[in-house]
Amino acid sequence: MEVALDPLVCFRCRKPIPAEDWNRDHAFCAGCHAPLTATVFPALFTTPGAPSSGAVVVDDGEASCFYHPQKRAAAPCDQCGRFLCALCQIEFQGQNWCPRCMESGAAKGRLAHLDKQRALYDNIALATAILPALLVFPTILSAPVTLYLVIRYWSAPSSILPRSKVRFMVAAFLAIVEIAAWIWLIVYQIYRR
Amino acid sequence: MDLVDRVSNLSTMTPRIPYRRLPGRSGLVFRDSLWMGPDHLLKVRSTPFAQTYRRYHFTDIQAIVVTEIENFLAPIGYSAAAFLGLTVFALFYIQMTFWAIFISLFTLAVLWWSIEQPNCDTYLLTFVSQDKLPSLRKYRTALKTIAAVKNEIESAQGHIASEALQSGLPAAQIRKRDSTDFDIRHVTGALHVAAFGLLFVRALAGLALLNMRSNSVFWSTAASLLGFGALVFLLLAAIRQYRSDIAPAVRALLFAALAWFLGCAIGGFGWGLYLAIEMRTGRYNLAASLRTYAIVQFVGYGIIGIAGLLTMWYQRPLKQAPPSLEPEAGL
Repeated sequence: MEVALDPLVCFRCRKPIPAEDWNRDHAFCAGCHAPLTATVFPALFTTPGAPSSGAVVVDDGEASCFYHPQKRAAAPCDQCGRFLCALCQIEFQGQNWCPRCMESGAAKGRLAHLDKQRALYDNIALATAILPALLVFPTILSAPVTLYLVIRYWSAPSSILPRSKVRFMVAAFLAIVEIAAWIWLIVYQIYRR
Repeated sequence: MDLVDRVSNLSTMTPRIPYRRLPGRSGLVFRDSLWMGPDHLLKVRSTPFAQTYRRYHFTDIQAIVVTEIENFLAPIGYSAAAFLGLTVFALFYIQMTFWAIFISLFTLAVLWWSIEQPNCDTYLLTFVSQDKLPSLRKYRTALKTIAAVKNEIESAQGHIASEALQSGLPAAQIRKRDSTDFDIRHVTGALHVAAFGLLFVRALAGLALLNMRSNSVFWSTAASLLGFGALVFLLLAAIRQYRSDIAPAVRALLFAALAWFLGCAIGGFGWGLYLAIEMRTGRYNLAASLRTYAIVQFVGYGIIGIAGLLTMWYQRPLKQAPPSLEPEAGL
């Protein structure tokens, strides 16, 4: 074991938890007597190494980094093929990535591993279909909007968790029913005269 | 075509991550949950129209700390549910069915709210963060979840031998974490002694009342005042013992005394409702029921009072200094 880092504390009273109480099934805080469980892992005893800044190009014939021409290339980007120095090389999902590919992929929402937030368009569509229906008349506007949302975002990236399309289907069904009801009402009013 | 545009085809390169939901949840509209991926934990905060994610890779997780917390909202909720439940029973009994159903729905809502109250805080530590896991807010659930993820984390990081921890780590190797540290207060326990003493005297007053052949206004008032005084002292002692060095047994007895007061209140309420209904029919013996209630109270107050005083006696500080370990001169 290397150097131990920060001591664990009881998050109730901020008193340190002695190492003897770590990884025990049941322990009590020495400060506030609260029952607690502190499960520690080897990462607690290691310090992450400083990132390499990349080696400098020595010979003219050596390949250099696309982003830092004075640095020696260490690997190509597996997405765009650009040469990368040790500073620019990002290992992600077993592949080498350059910062630009990573940024572009994250911005387009195509890297599920990097997404911090996702909109739930199916819930939005469902709410647009249901909530205005409580007041009946707003559905003349909300039903087409619901259909638009369903069509527009059917293939858009949704939650990264397992999720079905059933909300989209229900929203589309309700929107179609609402639109059909309005068409029937208008036609009925016209022919009644 | 710019090479970077090839990134548009990345969707085929990043297949859907298989996540498994871990036990624990919180919230109704704003929900928190925890999921396990192939190489990380995923904390999810869901609102009706969006989800926010936070990832903790197995290789980065340093520790998970679960601490039980005292949440007074849960007992308050359970007590309210008990009161409401008794009211529902009484309403059904006198055949006010509509109100009984209406209040029973409200009772169920209060009960659900009480069950949902958290009883622990769970924190996950990495080298750069200390994040609370809101979905793990029940102690047993938190332990179950940790057991589920522990193997995955240990297969990514390795295992710490328990002997290394039991023997203790050298203090010199531990870097101090910045924390708002505070000192544990010393409490003499005078308030506790007063509270338990008043409970005992209240029990004696109850005994005196039981032995009288006719109702005595003086003794009834005295018993009520003693009970009220004991309750006030118990509440003050509860405040005083927060973050103090008082013994766990004394803490437990104090909470038992408060729970007894609460139980008496709920029981008295139910008893009163039952009496009110039965007395309409004229079938009930009021004196006998009051006597039973007084006996139950006397026993409860007496046991808690004596147990509290005895515990305080055993926990009293030593007045005599321990003998010196230094060898005396001339020996």
